[in-house]
Amino acid sequence: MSDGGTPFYFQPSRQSPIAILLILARLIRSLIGQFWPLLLLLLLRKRSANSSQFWVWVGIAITVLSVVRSLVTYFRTHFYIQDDEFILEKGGFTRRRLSVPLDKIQTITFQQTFLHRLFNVVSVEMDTTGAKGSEISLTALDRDKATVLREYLLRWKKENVNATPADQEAATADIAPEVELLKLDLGALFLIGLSQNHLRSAGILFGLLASFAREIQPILGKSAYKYFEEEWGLSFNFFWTFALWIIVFFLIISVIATLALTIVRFYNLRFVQTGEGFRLEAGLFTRREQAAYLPKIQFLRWSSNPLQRLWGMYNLRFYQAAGHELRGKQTLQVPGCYPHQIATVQTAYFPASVQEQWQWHRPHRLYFRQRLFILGLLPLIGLILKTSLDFSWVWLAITLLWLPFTAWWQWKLLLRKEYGLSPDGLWVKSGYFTQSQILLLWANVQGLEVQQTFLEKRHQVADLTFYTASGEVEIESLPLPMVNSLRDYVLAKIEEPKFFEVAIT
Amino acid sequence: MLFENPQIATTDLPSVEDVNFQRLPPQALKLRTIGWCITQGIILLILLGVFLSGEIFKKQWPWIFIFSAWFLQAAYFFWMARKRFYREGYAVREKDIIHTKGFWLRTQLTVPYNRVQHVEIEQGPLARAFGLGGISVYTAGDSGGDLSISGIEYKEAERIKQFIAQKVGSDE
Repeated sequence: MSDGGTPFYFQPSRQSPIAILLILARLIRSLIGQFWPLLLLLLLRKRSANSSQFWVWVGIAITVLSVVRSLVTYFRTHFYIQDDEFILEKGGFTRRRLSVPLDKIQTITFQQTFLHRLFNVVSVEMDTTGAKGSEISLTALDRDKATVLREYLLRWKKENVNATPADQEAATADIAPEVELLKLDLGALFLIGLSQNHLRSAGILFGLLASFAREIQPILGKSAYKYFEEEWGLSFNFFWTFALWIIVFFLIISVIATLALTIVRFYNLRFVQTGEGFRLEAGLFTRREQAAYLPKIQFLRWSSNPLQRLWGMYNLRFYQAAGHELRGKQTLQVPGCYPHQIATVQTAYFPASVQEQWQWHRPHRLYFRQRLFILGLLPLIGLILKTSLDFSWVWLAITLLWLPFTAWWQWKLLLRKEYGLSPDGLWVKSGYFTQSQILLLWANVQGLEVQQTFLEKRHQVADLTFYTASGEVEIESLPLPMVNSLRDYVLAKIEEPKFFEVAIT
Repeated sequence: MLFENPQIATTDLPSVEDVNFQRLPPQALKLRTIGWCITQGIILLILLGVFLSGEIFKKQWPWIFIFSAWFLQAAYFFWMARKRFYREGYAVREKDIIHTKGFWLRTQLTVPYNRVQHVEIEQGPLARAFGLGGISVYTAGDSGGDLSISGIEYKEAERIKQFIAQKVGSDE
C-alpha cells in the first residue's frame, strides 16, 4: 500500500512531541477558563506576605501537575490501523481504547492553530457515523505524516466502497490530480466582507436605540426628547440627527468587524478539487482544512444577496453527513465562488444535472396566501393595536405600509420559487433579496414526509419534506397528486436506483 | 438480481393513499385520555391552589374568566385528542414504513428500510398497564427523519421491530 517498509500507521504510533506542549497549553487554558474568577479575586485582594507565599506554592503545584498530566497523556496515546479499524488508545489513569471501522470515518479535518503552524504540525479530527459517534482527534501530528495517513484512509475508502452498492456512483470516479478551483486574495475577501448583511445589523441597532429612547423616558420622568431639548438645549431635530449618526457609526463598526472576521476566517482560502471530492483550506490564525468526501455530500446550496449578485459572487455550502452529535459542524462553506466554480461542483456532485431534462414547477398561490397571512396579517393586528393605543406617526406609517410591503415581497418570493424535478434529483430555486439554489440527489433522501395544512387540504395541494443525513429540503404547495407520485417515485428510486427508469408523471 | 417490489415496480406507481392504514388500538385512546386527565388535573390543582390561598385579584370575578379559560382549553384538547387519534395510523409495507397523523396539519412520514439505522421500542409504566408500547425508527443524521409511533400494542411493536431488523439485515 505504501512505500517500502511498514508505514507508521500500521504500528502503534505516538503523536508529534509538540503535542505535549499543545496539551499543556490546552490544559492551562481550560484551568484559567474555569478558575478566572478566583484568579481575579487573588490579584485584586489585599496581599499579605504569608498568604501570597501559599498561593505561589499552589501555583507551582498546579503547574507541575499539569506538566505531568500532559506528559502522561502524550506517552499513553497511541494510534494505529489494524484489521480495517482505526484504533486510538488514550487516557492517563483510566485507559480508553477507541476503535472505529475505517468505513465509518466520514470526514477528516486538519486544523492548525498559531502554535501548530510554528512547528508545522496539524491536529486531526475524524468524524464518524452512527448515533453514538465517537469522535477521534489527535492533538498534533507532523504535517507530512498526517497527509500520508489521510491519503491512506481515503484510498482505503475508495477501494472498499466498491463493495457496497450504496456508494457506487462515487467509486467510478478515477483518482484525479488535485485541481485548485478557487483561491481568494485579499481583494476578494474584502468584497465578501463588504457584501455581508450590514443592513440587518444596522436595523437591529436602530431597534435597540428606539427602544432605549423609550426605556429612559420613565427614568427621566418626561419624554426623552423633551429632556434633551430642555436640559441640554438640544432640539428635536438634533436628536434625530444624533441618532442617525449613531446608526452610521454602528454601520461602519459592523462593516469593519465583519471585514476583520471574514479575513480571519477565510484568509488565504484555497478550494481544491481532489479525486474523492473537495478540500477547503482557510484561516488566518487557526488554519482549517476540511475535506468533503463526495458520497457524503448530502446536498448543495449556493446563494447570493443583491450586492454579491452585482459582483457575480456566490456563497456555496456543502451539507455533509455527520453523526448526531456533530450536526451543523459538517457544513462546509466556500464564499466568493463564481459561476464556473459552482458548475464544477455541481457536475461533480450531480453529473446528470447539467444535461438532464428538468421539469420546472411553481408552488400554488396558496403558498403566497399562507405566508401573507402569517407574515402580513398577524403582525398587522399587533401593529393596529399598538398604533391605536399609543399613537405616533412613525407607527402609523409602518402600519399602513406593512401589508403592501409584505404582499409585494411575498408575491416576488412566490414568483421566484421554482422546483425542478428530474429522474435523479431535485433543484430548488428561491429567494428574492437573497437568492438561493439547492441541488439534491434522490439517492441521499433518508425519509419523506407529506404535509398538508387545513387550507392546503381544501385546495388539494401539499408540501413534501425530504430528510437527508444533513438537514432537510422542503418543497411547498404543489398539487397533491404530483406530490404523491413524486414520493412514490423517490421511494422506488431509493430502493433500487439501478433498475428503475420511469418518467415522473 | 431483479427489482422485486410489486407495489412499486409498475409504471403507474400506486399512491400511498391506496395503502390501508392500520389504526391504533382503542386502549391507546384510553391511555391518552388518562394522560389528558393527569395534565389537566395538575393545571386545575395549581389554579385551585392559587385561588384558595392568595388574594391576587381584589374581586372574585376575574377567576370566572380564568376557570372558563381552563375549561375551554381542556375541552379543546379532549376533543383534539379524539380527532387526532382517529386520524393516526401506520402501514408496514414490503420496503418501507409509513406513519400518518395530525388534524390541523396532516403529515405522512415514510422511512424506507434501507435507510434505517436502528429501531427502538419503548414502554412507559402507564402504557405497560394497557399492554401498549411505542416504536421509534431512526435514520442517519437528522432527527426530523426519525419515525416514532406511540400507543400501539407492545407485541405489535416487537413484531414490527423484528420485521424491520430482518429487512435491514437482508439488505446488507
